[in-house]
Amino acid sequence: MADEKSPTDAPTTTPTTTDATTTNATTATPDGAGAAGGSTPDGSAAPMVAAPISAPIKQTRSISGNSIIDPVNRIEGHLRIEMEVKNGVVDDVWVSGGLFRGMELVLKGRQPTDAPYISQRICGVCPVSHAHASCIAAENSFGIEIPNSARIIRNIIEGAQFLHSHILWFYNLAALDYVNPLNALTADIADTVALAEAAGTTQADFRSLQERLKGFASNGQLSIFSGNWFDTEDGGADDSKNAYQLPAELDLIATAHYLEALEIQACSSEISGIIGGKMPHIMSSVPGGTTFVPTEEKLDDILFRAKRIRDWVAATMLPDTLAIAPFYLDVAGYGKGVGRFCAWGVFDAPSRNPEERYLPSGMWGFGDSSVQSVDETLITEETVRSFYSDSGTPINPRSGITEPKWPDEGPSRDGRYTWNKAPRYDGKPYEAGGLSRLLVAYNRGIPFIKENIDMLLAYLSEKAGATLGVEALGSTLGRTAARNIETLYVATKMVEWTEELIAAIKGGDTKTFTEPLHQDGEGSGMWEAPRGALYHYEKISANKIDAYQIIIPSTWNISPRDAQGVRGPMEEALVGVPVADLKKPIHALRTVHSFDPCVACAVHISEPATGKTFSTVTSPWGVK
Amino acid sequence: MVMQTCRNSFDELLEHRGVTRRDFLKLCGGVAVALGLSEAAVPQIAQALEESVIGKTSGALMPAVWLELASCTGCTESLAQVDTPDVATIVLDLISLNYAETLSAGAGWSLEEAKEQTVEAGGYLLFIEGALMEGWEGNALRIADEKGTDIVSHCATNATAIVCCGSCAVDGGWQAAEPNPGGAIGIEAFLKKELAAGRFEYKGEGDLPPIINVPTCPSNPENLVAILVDALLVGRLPELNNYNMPTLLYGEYIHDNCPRRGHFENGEFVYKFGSEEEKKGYCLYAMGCKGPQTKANCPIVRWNRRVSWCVESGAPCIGCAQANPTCTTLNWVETNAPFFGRFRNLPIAGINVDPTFIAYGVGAVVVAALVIHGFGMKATGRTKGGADFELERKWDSLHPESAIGSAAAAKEAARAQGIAVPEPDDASDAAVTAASAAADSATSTEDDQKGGDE
Repeated sequence: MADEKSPTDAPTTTPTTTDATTTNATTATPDGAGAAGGSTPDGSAAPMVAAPISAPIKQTRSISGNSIIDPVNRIEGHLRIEMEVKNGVVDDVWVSGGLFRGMELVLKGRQPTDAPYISQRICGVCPVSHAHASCIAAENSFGIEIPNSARIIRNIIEGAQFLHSHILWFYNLAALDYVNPLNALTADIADTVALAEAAGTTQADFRSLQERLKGFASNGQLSIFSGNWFDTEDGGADDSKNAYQLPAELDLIATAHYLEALEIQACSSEISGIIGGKMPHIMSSVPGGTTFVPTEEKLDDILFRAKRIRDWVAATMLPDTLAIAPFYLDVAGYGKGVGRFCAWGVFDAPSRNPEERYLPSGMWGFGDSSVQSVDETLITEETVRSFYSDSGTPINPRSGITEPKWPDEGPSRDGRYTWNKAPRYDGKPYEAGGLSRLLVAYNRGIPFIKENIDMLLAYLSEKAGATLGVEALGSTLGRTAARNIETLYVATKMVEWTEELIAAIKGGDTKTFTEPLHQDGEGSGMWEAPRGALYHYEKISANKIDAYQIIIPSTWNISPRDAQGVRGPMEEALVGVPVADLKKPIHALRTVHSFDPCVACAVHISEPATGKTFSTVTSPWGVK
Repeated sequence: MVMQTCRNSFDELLEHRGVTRRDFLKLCGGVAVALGLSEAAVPQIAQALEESVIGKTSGALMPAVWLELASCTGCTESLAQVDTPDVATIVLDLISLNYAETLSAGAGWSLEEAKEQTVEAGGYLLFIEGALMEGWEGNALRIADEKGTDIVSHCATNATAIVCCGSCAVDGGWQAAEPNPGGAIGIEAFLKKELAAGRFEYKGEGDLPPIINVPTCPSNPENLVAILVDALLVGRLPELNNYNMPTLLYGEYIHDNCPRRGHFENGEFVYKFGSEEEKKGYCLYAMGCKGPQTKANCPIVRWNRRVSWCVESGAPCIGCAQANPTCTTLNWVETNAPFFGRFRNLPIAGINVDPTFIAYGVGAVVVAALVIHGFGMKATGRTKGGADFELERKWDSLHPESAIGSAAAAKEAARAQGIAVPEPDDASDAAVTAASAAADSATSTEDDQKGGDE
């Protein structure tokens, strides 16, 4: 109950009263924090630990009915979540995307050199990934390989986008599901400083920040806190408690770092800007390589920013995760999803083999003994539950012909309910994203990833009193923790890549562009956006695009049911999530946010290879 | 639907939205705790907030609503990069951003409620990001079970001013490019159309709220902040040009302020990526740079906290600021693609228009201007006795249908075929004509071969 939540009722106001926090504080201070002094953090020495798995959720509630979140906030695009709640938990769910734009049709007939510029405008959060996937598709079509220096430059700008995206997601988007900045008004400053010290996270000018917040509160205008869910009940194991559990002091720390994160994500985008001219929507990545000329001045600008970001992530982002997690143990108990993971791989290595990328490609599921190679021909898309004229059989995107069509009977839960198609791999739904990349990297034996995940699992095992495997990561918490491990990994690599580029230039490796050999062909670009596996495909004749096809990570994640009635990953993850308040299903929102969905990207049509257009469509939306 | 918010009884309104009185009181309780007030204050807060989940409807901060339509969220992302002031200062100290899908703490019904109450109170800035989709009677874009078109009309009725952030909101952006699959349209064109059809009624003075168009893709946050400063600190709206774009920000061609302008004057061009010319930072005009025909302040304010801008990254300007709010078909993608070409096939209403037609028809004025501007340098005497590029310029000016730079390739081809090509230092008319002819025959041979391959 909201009324019961007063500052003195908060779980703890001093760090010494919370075992979990102090335990973390002693074990969780990453050695990387020492990097503030300028030393290179040994990333592997930054232990990643997290909260123990919570007890199973008690179904003590009698709440039943429909619960709808529309619009879902703090994501990219327009997403609607429609849930059927029985006895306090989600019984069934329908996820749908609400915007149709038609990128593939706009690209058709244009030149392949235009495609990276136009297609990256699908998404303002991950434009770099789209530009790269489009470039790779063109390069594969033309049969060329980009020069080594161009490869490194692309890795750096891609990495800068990953860091920007992950940091912004954690602090500025997802955090407001767990942190109540307005609660920070009542924090005691001395306790806050002590708590930050104990948690091993960065100090800040907490008093000034609190004064600033008080000034804001005295205006009485709520600004971005309008219509907040800060008062919502938890509805989990202890259903009488408020869903926002942090002590005011930790809220103040997190709010201070919310502001710092705004600076750091911007710093990361500055790297994208230095290479790409501007961010969002970069200019430098073109089929054949890059237009960016790495001068000494530019390299220096990149290197010092990369080091600043790496040091901040090690010193602030991971300790914060550890300090906040103990207050939200329930979050580890739900949100599993389908338990199968796909990664096309990202950050090219000198070998150019996708399976040897710094985050490698592969298919893996809980219970599998080893990672399988990706077979592009096994990718299919189905539309039996989407607004298309269904061909009846799942089709590969290369031969995909799907015509958008509004169902005569109208949209319904039993019939067609979304614009999003249902991608499947070998007939099964797969989850894409940071967790997928890390599980594949883990099983391919990337040392940094293996070490950090093993430490996390050891910690979880200790807390749970049982030996836990990687299955424990299949949760809303696991998805969040994985993304933060990935952030540190990429931040560490960014410095290495910049140094690699400097060494390459010193060694005379200054070539950054390869001329196309011909202007016909077809090819796919399989790459990763921060949100997961990204696929572009194009068919080119006489320097004109005949067909273009895109499958976005969130298309995998927010997939509807397929012909067999099998739910998509996000739908599956939402089943079983506790709901205390049908109007503010906070746990469902947390679970949706853990996927970091990107919905503007996700709605796509197949290229009408037959020349068909979709003029027959009468209305693209309308789940009632 | 939207008029329901105008009911007098707040309870009735809440009830209509499926919110019980108990929910509302609970929400107020949350606010009270949030503000650090005692529980005893809850009833008073409830009274004060009777009309509002947004706190006070007016005060030190200018209320604002940020709508995302058919957008990529790039303009919100872009705003998050600004540092003068930073976005936290904007939302805590300058405006009360009561509705912004990407930034708001609230979600679902309570977020929609915040929007409704802000609109009802009036006196807010309306920021719009992304194109409006008219496809399938406006159903191509639905948010919270409402059509995007209805949302825009509703939010515009009571707005103090509308800021169209980015080229999509100005004229539809890339979504409006041929074949404009979802029926994208800019905000100004849409509202004018609605007004003409008698479907829109502005509650303020005049027919429409003041509209400020801020093109480029995404919008440059420096420009948004400049407008905010005008509105909030100076207390006026910026002076606008015919396209309702701030004169100060969109008054000059990119070309005129480009740091590479000197290379243009010297005829020093990049003809291909990865070349020596590129490394020297020469002018990208030959690569299709749209700087000479695009008005924006990019070279001056730059991007991402002033670290760089497009041309500095080695890529030609692709003209993303070229948005015509009165004409969706003149969106920047359609106008400028192919981005690396000087001339292009321009699909108009589904028909590919011949580039020659463009050159001599629609685009004649532009082409003439460029020819005069770009190739009228010989007479200035900057390059004594003619220079290497004189031949190329001459050839280029005689071949408006070809990409600039073809002359160099043509000369190579001519030499390869044993055709005599005059040396660069001989810039007499006779020599130029001879070179031009030689280049002509070489290119036509090439073209024939290409045709044969197809």
